[in-house]
Amino acid sequence: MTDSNDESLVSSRRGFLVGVAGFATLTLAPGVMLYARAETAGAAKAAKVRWGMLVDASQCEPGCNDCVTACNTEFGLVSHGRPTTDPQWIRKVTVTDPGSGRSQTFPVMCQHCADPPCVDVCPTNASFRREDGIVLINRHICVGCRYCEMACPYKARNFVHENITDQKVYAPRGKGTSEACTMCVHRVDAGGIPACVEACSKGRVAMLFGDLNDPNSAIAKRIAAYNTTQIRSDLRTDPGVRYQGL
Amino acid sequence: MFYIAASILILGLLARVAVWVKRRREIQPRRGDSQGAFGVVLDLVLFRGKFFDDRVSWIFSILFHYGLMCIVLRHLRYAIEPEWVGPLWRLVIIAQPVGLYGGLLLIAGVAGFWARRLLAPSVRATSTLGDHAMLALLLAIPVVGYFNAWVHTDLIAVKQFFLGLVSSKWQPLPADPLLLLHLWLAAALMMALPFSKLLHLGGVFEPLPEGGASRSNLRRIARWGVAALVGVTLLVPAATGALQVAADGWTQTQPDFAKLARAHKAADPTVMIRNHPNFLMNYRAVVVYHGVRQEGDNIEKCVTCHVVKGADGQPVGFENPKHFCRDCHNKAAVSIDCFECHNSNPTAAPKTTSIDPRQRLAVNTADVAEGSAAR
Repeated sequence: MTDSNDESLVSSRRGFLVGVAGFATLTLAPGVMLYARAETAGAAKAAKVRWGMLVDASQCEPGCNDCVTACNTEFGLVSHGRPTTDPQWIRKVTVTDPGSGRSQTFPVMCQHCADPPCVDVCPTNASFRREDGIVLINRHICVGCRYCEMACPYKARNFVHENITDQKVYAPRGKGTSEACTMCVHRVDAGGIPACVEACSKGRVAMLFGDLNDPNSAIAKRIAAYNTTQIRSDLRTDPGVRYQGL
Repeated sequence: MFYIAASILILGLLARVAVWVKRRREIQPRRGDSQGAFGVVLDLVLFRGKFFDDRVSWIFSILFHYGLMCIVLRHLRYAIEPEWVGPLWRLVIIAQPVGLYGGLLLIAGVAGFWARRLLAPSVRATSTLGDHAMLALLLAIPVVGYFNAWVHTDLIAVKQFFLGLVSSKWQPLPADPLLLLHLWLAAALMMALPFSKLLHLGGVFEPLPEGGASRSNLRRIARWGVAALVGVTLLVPAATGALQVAADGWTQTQPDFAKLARAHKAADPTVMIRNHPNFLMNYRAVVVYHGVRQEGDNIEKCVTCHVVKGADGQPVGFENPKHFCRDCHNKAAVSIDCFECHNSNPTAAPKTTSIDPRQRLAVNTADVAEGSAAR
């Protein structure tokens, strides 16, 4: 007798709670769903990879601009005839030792730091580092304040100054936001390699892309065998892009 | 339902104004506290009389009335088609954020009035149940309205419903419980308004208060009538809603977005019409943060299938008013900035080309529309 009574009480209470929960689902739905999906997707990608690049400066030819051209083609970066504000995600840098007069040239792009200053300063959390080490900008929430551009020691970030039309499907860009090298995240997610690395492999191979955390990858073996450096390693940003022969 | 509500509102208003005008003729001279045209403007715009009379009430009054103005401007989008007003439609678009935040002033004003009614002893002593009921109604309408804005409904269908009421070409109303509740409460307010003291809108016609026992008795009866009316209008949907929930549980949950992306061509168009913002926001988080990229996850894919061809046979971009997304968003005055960054043109030859989902909806619901209950 008591048992059945208890049961009915419990079940009616449960019915009430289910009703309340149902209402909560309806009203909270937009935000809640967003989180739920994002969480599962993150769990699928939790394998510890860190994508990185190795640039062999001794192999980089002074007159060659292939990596820059490939990047511009890949992302539809076109000049508007105003060089100071034209987009530039990767650039060729020439350094000369004033003592010996030895000159070197190599590409510099977003260094995809493990501890990126751009992420530290971003007021809206638009600047972020993915699980796999790629530093990106969520331009849906970027307000174009340009703090990241000032914070970056590598001058890797750009501001979009012009109205843009006919964007690539995989690379939406718009006026008033910050942008930078994405390490061709759309190619990497599909199992490919970045456009600049692909372009560089046509002549002398100066660029190498791979998983820094996988000891069997070509890039990890090279880094283990040769003396490589990170630009401005004194800042302890731990860039994912390393240089050989600097 | 709305016809009844509107006729009660209009007839009630007319009757009351007629009574006032008649009384005013009997009681001369007219009220003299406004000095000239400027004084009338001060009274009407800044509620000068109230300012010197009751400062607290004046603050809530300003909040309420200007909040109400903002929110009414926001609702203009349901009453006007962009083609009717031409470039003035810009103003309706600007009114959207104004109304969205201005509505909070309205809620603050009503909440303040109610707090005053409960906390100030002198006001509390003279409050009737009708006063509280009206405040409850005034608070419930915007609160439910905000929930509506949050969970989304099919704005174009709502607009077609109301324009259909005016032109007596009846259209079905989306069967979202929150939307129906909002409209039900609004109708209740329309019916209660002529009998309540909220109707000081026509106050310029009102004679000076002369007091008198018979009149205050009449007023008390009217207030109780209002309380009963509001009570019934609040209880009926609540009771039916509770019964419905008890009967079949709450069935309105979010769809599975992945399934929706693959199968929305075959699914009920209303599901996608209602959920596409959540759908896009969800995928943008998944793609940007977790790199889960699948065919059809991007907005470019949407505009590739939902292509609209211009006069020259070429797909039109977002700058063209006929663009698939822009057409509806413009009619509903909902801003859309996706295409400041994303390409609004098809980026590939679509495998299938979609027809306008509203056309499909019209085919599906043509027979249902005849006997729809919600009017």
